[in-house]
Amino acid sequence: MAKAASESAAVGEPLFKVENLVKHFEVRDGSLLGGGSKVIRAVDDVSFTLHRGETLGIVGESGCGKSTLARVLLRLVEPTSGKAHLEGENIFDLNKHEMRLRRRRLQIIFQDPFASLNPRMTVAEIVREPWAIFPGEVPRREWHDRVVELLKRVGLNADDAHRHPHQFSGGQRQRIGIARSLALNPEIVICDEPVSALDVSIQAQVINLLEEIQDEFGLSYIFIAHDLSIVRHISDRVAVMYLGKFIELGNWRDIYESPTHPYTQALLSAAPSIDAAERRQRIILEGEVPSPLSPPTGCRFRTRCHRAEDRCASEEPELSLRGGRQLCACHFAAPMPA
Amino acid sequence: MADLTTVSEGEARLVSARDLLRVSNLRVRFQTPHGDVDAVRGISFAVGREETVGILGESGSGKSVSVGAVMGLLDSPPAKIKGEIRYGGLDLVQAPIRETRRIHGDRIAMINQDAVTSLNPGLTVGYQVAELFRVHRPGTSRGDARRKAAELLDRVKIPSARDRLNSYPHEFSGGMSQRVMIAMAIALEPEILIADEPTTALDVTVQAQIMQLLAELREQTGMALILITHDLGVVAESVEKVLVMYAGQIVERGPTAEIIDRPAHPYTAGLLASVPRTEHKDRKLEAIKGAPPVMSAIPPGCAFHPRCGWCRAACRKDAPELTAIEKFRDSACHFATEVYRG
Repeated sequence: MAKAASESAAVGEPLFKVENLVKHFEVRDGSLLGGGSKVIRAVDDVSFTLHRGETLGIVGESGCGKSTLARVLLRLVEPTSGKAHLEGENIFDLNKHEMRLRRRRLQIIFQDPFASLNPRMTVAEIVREPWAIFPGEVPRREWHDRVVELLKRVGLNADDAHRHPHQFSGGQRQRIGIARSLALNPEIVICDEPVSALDVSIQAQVINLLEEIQDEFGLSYIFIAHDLSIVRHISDRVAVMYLGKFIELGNWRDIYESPTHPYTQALLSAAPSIDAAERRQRIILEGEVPSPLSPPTGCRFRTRCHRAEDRCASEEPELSLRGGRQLCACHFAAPMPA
Repeated sequence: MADLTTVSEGEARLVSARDLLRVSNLRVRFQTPHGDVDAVRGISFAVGREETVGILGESGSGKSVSVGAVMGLLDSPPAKIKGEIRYGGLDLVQAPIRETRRIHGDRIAMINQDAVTSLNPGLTVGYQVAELFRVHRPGTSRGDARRKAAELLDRVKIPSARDRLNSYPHEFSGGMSQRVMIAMAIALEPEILIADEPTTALDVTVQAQIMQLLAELREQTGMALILITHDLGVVAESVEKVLVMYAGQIVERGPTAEIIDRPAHPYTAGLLASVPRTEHKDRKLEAIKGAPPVMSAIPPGCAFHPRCGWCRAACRKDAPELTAIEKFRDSACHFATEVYRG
């Protein structure tokens, strides 16, 4: 079943084009009596193109909007505005029925393998559930064999089909989630922190599995994580997110080895490393991420930025080419001093 | 409980002058409805004055239970604690609570992962910090306690510390809450600070701030640090010595830089190899097979044997002892020398 997908696709053609995506949440003010409402700008004007067979990594700290972005792209929550073209068709224009049909091409793997599997269902029921939702996808008489085939592919046994999620370790549960996400032969899989709940010794197993099935099934990944070294390992391109915006986007090597946005530079320098050679001059950022309820005017990073000048408060920098090979949203984009 | 522990001079001398804390053959067993579970299975280590020691391990390795025993945080029952925890001539396992109360939270202080829920949501931060002085240093006046609380918040770099005394914990972010916990931990000038996954719940830029703050405070006060973490990078950058724990035992220990450079236990070697590095970008990661054992079903022989590439018949039968392979280097593996030589 994997063959069709991988043969039909030339790696690299644009597959999923996201344009000016915005998701604002309205929250009521604390006061009960006629309090006004405020807007959280969780995702604020994000654009990117995902190419067939590639992995786009998205890194950022908690609250930057990366998980909201994942949910909007699947229409688990509706966007405020923007478009997402899947082969020329804006998925946000589709009605409920049409979206359901497209959704099998877009799957998600969640962070928490303890919360994302129904504890009352057997593994077989979990993996084959999508086929009940999309009748005609796989004939019922083939269900059993296909479940076993998928379980084996993700490193589980045929016998595991009849067990329940609580009988498995975290790493095995994540494998079950991966098997289910593969059941409908998707083209795009959004991985939302897929290994961060796992023990260190298990993370590498799951990353390896994700890379293997990517080749076999011809998958494109949007890989969301806060662990910078894992994102570097798996990604072709990387986007860095801060307060709802992409602030730097480019080839993994350009982002990691010659970042030009001061936030990317600080983020990378802050990550502790076992390699003495990898340790950079640490840039300790002052303060913490401002509230997305009232982000700073102009550049959102300026309140913590050592390069900030007057212009940064009045004029919001666009994500554009600024001397480097990657896109950067900083008026003063520059490589780190050696 | 045990007899009142009076410490003879002879016993006191067993604790060497440099060692602040000496843990000997510590075992912790939990009695559960499903049977007994051995969380810590005979570990020994010492922490010297001004030393920084890391305890590295995955979930269920026993690292947090070990320091829970040191801090007197385990309820007994269900926990059964055996072995010795020597601090200043006192065995913290046997000593009555009125003795250990002078040590826990005072001479040995602790911060943990979950700073936000460790604070009482109904009391102001200033009250909670000041309370420490009123409880542990009776006779401190309200005004003095409050002044000291403000100084402490300032020392942990909480902006406009004096004004924040009247804030409630929910007004603080995760990073700021951890700073408050650190302020409370250092308030009584402890000799040892135990930090149990202090930055695991925090973002990487805030983690860097907190680790820098801990390093600065250690430099100013000379307190020793026991850092419990699952993060190899944090260990590599923050502690001189490391103990690697697996299934309730110490499987390797030694100077951090040397262990990272040249591990002598297959588990440590496996952990290090599984870290994604730039130069291995196009390769598969070298994962350790299988999963850590659950505490109720620890494999016989060497607990790591089902996951180990070096496993031979002896490993399934005989548990290897922690033995020296080099000066300051110990490993609990039948093939330690071979692993070490690579």
